[in-house]
Amino acid sequence: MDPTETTLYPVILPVPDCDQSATDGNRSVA
Amino acid sequence: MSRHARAALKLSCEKSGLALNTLPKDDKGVPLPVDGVYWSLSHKTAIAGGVASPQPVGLDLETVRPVSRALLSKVADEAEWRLAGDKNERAFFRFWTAKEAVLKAVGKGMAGLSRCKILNIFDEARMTLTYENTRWPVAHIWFNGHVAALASGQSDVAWTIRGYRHGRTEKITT
Repeated sequence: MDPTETTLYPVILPVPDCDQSATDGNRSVA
Repeated sequence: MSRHARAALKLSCEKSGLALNTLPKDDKGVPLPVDGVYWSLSHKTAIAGGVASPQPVGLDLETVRPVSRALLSKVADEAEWRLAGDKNERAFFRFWTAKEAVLKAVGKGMAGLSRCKILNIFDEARMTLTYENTRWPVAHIWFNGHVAALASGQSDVAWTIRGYRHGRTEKITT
């Protein structure tokens, strides 16, 4: 299989208002 | 590691037909591939994302908000800003997420920011960056005040965004 012909499937989900404490350690621009 | 980002990654695996039974990281926190499957997560206050890929990949999310002029100049040099046209928040977050996505794909932290450059901007969804003489196509998508960037060597991207406009999938060929 040619990897350049593979479709990527990024997924984005909403975070409920009651659960905003988790983090992956993403850096902040602030 | 956010359970929401992990849920997004699991869904990405299902859509891609890829398997990730563990999510190991090195001692610097850089995600390690598992049996040839690369992965990347991102988590902001209101959104979380994940992607699995047979090639190195980087995903970054941001919520567009006001930034200082000093920060505008920090993310890109004047030659890069000339490509953008307008030096504003929208362009800033596009550049920032693109560079962060590329640095994630190469497994580098923000220390590599100065070596990551915007090479071309094709349209609202497609640009190319360089990092140490390697070209990285980056795909963007905008939704409800947020922007997502995906860096990978692959050309076909099918975004799934849940919870906005009752959920939608948008396929962008880059």
